[in-house]
Amino acid sequence: MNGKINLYIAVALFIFFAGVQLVFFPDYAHAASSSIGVSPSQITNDILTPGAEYETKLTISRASATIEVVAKIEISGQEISNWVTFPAGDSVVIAKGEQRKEITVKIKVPQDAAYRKYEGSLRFTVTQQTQGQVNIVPGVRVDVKLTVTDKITESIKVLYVQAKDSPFLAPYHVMVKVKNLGNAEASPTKLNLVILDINEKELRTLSAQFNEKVAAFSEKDYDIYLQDPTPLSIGEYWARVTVFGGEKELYSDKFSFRITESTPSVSVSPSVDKGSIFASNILMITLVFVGILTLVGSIAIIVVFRRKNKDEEGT
Amino acid sequence: MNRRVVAFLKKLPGLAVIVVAGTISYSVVADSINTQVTVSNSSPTFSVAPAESPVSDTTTPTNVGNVVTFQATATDANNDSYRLAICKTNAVTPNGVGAPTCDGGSWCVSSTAASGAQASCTYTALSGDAESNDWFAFVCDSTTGSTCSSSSQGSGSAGSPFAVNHAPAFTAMNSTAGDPGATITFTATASDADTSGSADTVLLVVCSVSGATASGCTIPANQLCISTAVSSNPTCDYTLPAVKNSGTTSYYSYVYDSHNLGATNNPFPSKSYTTNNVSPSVSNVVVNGAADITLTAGTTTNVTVTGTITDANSCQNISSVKTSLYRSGVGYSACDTVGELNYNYCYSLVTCSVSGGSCTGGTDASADYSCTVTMQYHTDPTDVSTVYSAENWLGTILVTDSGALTATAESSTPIEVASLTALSLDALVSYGNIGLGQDSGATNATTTVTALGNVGIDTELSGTSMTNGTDTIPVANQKYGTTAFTYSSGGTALSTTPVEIELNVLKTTSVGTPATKSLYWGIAIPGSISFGTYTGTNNITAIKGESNEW
Repeated sequence: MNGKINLYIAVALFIFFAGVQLVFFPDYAHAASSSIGVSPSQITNDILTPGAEYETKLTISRASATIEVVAKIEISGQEISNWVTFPAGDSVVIAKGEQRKEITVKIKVPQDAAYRKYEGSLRFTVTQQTQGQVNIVPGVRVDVKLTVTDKITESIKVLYVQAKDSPFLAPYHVMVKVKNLGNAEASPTKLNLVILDINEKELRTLSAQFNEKVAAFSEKDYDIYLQDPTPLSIGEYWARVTVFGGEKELYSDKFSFRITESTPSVSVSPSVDKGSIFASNILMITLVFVGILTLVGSIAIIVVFRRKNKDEEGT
Repeated sequence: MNRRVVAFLKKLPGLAVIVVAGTISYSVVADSINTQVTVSNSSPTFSVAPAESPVSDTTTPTNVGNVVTFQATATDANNDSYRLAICKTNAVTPNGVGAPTCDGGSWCVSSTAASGAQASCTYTALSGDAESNDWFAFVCDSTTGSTCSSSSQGSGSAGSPFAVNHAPAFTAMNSTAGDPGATITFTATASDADTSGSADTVLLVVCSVSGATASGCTIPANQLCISTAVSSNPTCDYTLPAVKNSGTTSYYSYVYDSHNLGATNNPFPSKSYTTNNVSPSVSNVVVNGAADITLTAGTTTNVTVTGTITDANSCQNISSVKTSLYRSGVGYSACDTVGELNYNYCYSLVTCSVSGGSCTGGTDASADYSCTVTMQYHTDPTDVSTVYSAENWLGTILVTDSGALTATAESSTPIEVASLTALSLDALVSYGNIGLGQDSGATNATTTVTALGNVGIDTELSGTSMTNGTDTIPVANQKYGTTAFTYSSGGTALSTTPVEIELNVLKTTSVGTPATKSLYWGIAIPGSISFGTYTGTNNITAIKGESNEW
């Protein structure tokens, strides 16, 4: 009988300690995994000029976001190590729950850079605390391949165009997003706007010039306003927009837009809500009155009871 | 001469007295006798000629259903009352105190009127009446032995005959069908047989709501069109609103003649015109805001496709909007069915939803739509040094309206899906228990490298020495290989300097079976170090592999 009891106790202890091990030493049960990714996988630019400066974006991501991690960035490549900087720092915290983090990479070419190719790389590593003999640190390498040239390249790309709704009598508003893929300031030259009714009958043709340049390797949003000498009435229309770079058509598409009622100008001045003040005053008075009643009532009750007690004592 | 006349006249009064006195004397001295005389009935006579009021002539005829009023004034020498009889022929028979009888029929007979007072009677024009109708007016006294005057036909335009205008015939009504913004034509089959004076013309009025006169619809805003006056079959045109739902719309049509008399069946019953269903259109398709797509390691990334749908039958006429996102080398034609879905190069027919408030109602043609495409991490990249670097990614939006008409449009600006170099690793390598001066022999620890991006990957390896806090196992004592090896004869020594190895993990093409490769590790323990657990760090860095080895 005692033997059986001792056996039971031993089994229970064994189960207990095994369980403790499983709970407190999970490394023995399975190996955790970690992940990291960077996109795009390379930074390339083969039309840089001496003194050129531009920014690009990289996105660091991971499959699991259950814990916070720190991604460290190292630059290798003696030639470019001074060209590449990270305005937000070379250490990126990816918070718990966060799966993607975008960082800015700034590239600045020295004025005295020779005309040739330059290569280097960025290494992104993610560290996290684990217990084991050899901790594995995952990382991603992003290759950097730059070319400095004396050749001027002009390349404008229209990313998209949008015809905005315009109030009646106001100029028509077209928004143009442009990317300069070249290494010199540039811009589109002209925008043509053909307005059609909703049944596609042509009504107006207007045009506007692009007055401002886009810096090399940069994007710009243009807000183009075209005044119609004979404004159209309120309603829905088509706008066929063509953007030119010199004689070359860069972009053409058709959009619908509306001419809406003019928005009246409204001036707003601070005002006091008399109703609310009145209501709050009433509330205050009510509270005070109730308080007074309560006090008086309480005093009255006390007085009555005292008299009653005196009467009873008297008798 | 004058003196004699004057002298005679001066004597005249005296002569008269003598005559009268003589007469009286005679009578006084003569015998008395009875006398009798019968005063005969005189017929009344027109003091005001008979006339129509208002005038009823070929210019202003009396419309069927309207009243012609005949008026006249007569006096009777006997001071009898009288009646006015308007007869169809020049013959009347008096009837004492009763109404006289027109021998050839009457238009109307008045009630009695006092001598000198106006008498009038009315006649309601009938559809069976001729256009031109002669009338003969008589005034007959209302007394025993009544007599009638001779006839009078009045004079001028108010005199005989009176004119009757008949309603136009309206037997059919048709309309053409049209697209929103187009012109449709309403045609009435109608004519008018009246020709007296000049041939009557007919006019068509078409209203959206019941109610019209010959001048147009009762409420002008409801007027669709009004024709010009024509001899027959009038037509008028109506331009449909630029935005209008397809289907039938009721209308009310009226025909009037040139004397403003409407057809008896105005409005023509139960008619409607048809607005055609027209194809919708898609515009302004933009993928990811025209920015290149960067994916997320090991999981999905939501990419937005936007566009504008326009339908002249109104934005409420849209049944469904869907988008497909695909590599340009695949094309929309190979990505326009659900069965063509492939998370590497084709995301087909993803449902889009209207952007809140952009479809304002039945008169609004356009609405903005937004579509969320959930892209897998292994979607084919199209940037540099990739298999499809000459291609890009495009989006097409497909719209279907309630009449099953469809339209598509592709994004104007192609974008790239960027390379994503990503991996997952086991978090640690455990060599187990190895004695002093021993090595791992043919037993390798392994690390599984999984490609969690959209490129094949190679790796860089580097590491640190292992330590227990007191002693160190140099980093070079660790070896690695892409296949299993025996420590003494195989493997490559690890270094603190990263070394690239051609692991050639393939590009993952399916979430269910991600591409993996194993790294193999071995270690040798120095002969004289302290006992205990040694730890260190090995760096495994993913590198975008050569595209021909994916």
